[in-house]
This record gives sequence, structure tokens and C-alpha cells, in this order.
Amino acid sequence: MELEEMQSLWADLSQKIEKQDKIQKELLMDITKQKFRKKLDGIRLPEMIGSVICYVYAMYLLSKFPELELWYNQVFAMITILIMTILPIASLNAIKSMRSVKIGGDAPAQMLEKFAKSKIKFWKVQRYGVIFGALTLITVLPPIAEIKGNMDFISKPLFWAIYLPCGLLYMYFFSRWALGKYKKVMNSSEQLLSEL
Amino acid sequence: MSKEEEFIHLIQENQGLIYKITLIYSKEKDEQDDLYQEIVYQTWKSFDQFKRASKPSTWLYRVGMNTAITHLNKSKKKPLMVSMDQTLFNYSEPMDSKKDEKIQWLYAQIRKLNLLDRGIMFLFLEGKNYEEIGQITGVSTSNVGTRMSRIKQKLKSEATPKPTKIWN
Repeated sequence: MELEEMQSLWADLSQKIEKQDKIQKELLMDITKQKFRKKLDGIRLPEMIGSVICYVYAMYLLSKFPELELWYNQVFAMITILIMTILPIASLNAIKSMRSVKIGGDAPAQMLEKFAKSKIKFWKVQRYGVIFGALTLITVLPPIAEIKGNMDFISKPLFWAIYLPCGLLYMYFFSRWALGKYKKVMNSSEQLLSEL
Repeated sequence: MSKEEEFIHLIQENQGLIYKITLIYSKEKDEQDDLYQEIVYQTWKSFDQFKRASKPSTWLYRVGMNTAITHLNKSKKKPLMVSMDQTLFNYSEPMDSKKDEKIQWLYAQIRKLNLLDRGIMFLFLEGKNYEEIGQITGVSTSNVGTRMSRIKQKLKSEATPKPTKIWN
């Protein structure tokens, strides 16, 4: 089939479509409003909940910071506070960047590129999240033990001998599962880019 | 005219365009309906940008195509929230069967192209020139030309329409 014939077929189809009845006003607004609510709920909630948990914990540690007397616990507490403050910001920022792709503003070629780049950025943040999350496994316990006045269990080598391998093993499997999910997202972005 | 009325007017005037985008970017009826809803939603969401747009048609093509591309990327089948039975899009309206067959073949060929080329081919069939296609897709005019020749070659290499049923 030649292109001219395709164009003529397309023109026929366009004419036919133009003859269709107008979509009803009520239905149109129903579609729009329902989609709007769905999007808002689906995207914002899980990330916001995670961030709130991190911030509550960071605030708690910060409020108890003056009670810490041991210098290494002060360092550990600071590291934990920093991680729990910066990571959610970075993660939310990466998501914001993904969502900021302007469907109504950018041309498709630019939009695809921005979309893929912001997904890659998100992926990087998640990887750092795993690394720092593993670090938090160590830094979070000693300051809490001092605050609670129960330093005995963390001074026992046996505790660390069990806690650390178990914690790291959990982190390994959890991050493998989570990063696997994100990898799928990244691959689809790369596929989109490669199609350009 | 209120914002809502302006929006309804825009969609009603361009519902054919949105419908055609759903046809070239998705195959199944459910996917098409879902994509139609998504385009309507995205149009509403960015409606303020439309008011500032110098060329409303260019803007609407962009919104439609961008939505289709991102929607396909998610590729998750979700249940429809609003039934589209009332939209009165009648696929099964009797047509010249040979012509209908050819149109279905044409859709199938377009859907074989990659996402951007699909959009370029769609705009070409809509009667846009290379410059307009470039403006809408963000691809340079010369690149549009190159892509179009590749698309032509690809379409030519395909066999002539075979009697296949693409959808119900």
C-alpha cells in the first residue's frame, strides 16, 4: 500500500470519526475527577508515609541528643539523623523530578529523555539508600541503648555476632527485592531512550 | 465561559483526534478506553498551559502523544473507573469491508513502529508537513524527513493487507 493510499484511508476514517456524537459533558467531568483523585492517592501516600517515619525518628534522636554522653554515640546519632533527614529529601526530590515531566509542555522527544533521566536519578538515590540504610543498621543501636539506659546488650560481642549478619542478610534480600523492582523501571526507560 | 466549559468545548471539538491517538497507541478496546480517559485527565491537568499555548492544536497533539507514550510505559492493565459505553464511539459501524480490512491493516502496521515513529506517522497521516511534525514532536525537520523515509521503506517492505481481524 502506498503512502498516498494510506493518507486517503486515514482521511476517510477521520471523516467518519468526526461524525460521531459528542462525548457527554457529565461523563467527561466524571472521568477527569476520578482520574485526578486516583493519581493523587496513588503517588503521594507511600512515599510521604516513609518520609514521616524517618523524620519522626530523626526528631526523637535529636531531642534526646543532649542525653548522650559517650562521644561515639553522639557521632552515631548524628550520622543516623543526617541519613534519616537527607535520604527522604533525596528520594522525594527524585520522585518530584519524575513527576515534573510536563506532558502539556515538552515535545515528545524531550519528554522521553527527561522521563528516562529522572528515572535513572531515582534509581541512583535508591542505591545510595540501600548503602546508607545498611550503615544505619550499625549506627542506630548504640545511641538508643544509651538513651534507654541499657548498654549491656550492645557491649556483648555475641549480640553483634548475631545482629550484624542477620541485619545485613535482611538488608541484602530486601534491597535485592526493592532494587529489582526499580531496575525494571530503569530498563523500560532505557528501552524508551533507545527507541528514539 | 468558565474553565470547565472551555475544557469541555476543547475535548468535544477534538475528541476525534484523541480517539485516533488511542487507536494507534493501543490495540485492545479496554486499553483504548483507559488511554482515552488518561488523555482527557492529562488535558485537564495541564489546561492552564493550553490557555498560554500559541498553537492549541500543536499543544493537544503533544499532550495526547505524550500521555500515550507514558501510559504505554506503565503497561499495567487497570480496571476502568468510568464506563465508556456511553461515549458513543461505534467501532462496529458498517463500512466497506475491503476498506475496513485495509484500515485495520494500516493500524497494525503503524503499531509495529517504535513510539516516536508511530507519532510521526500519525501526524503525517493527519496531513501535517515535516516542519509541523518537527514542532509537535520536538524532532528536527531533517530528522523527521529521515525517519519518514525509513518508515516508508518499512511499510513498503510489509506485505499487502492480509485478511486478519485486529480487534472485535
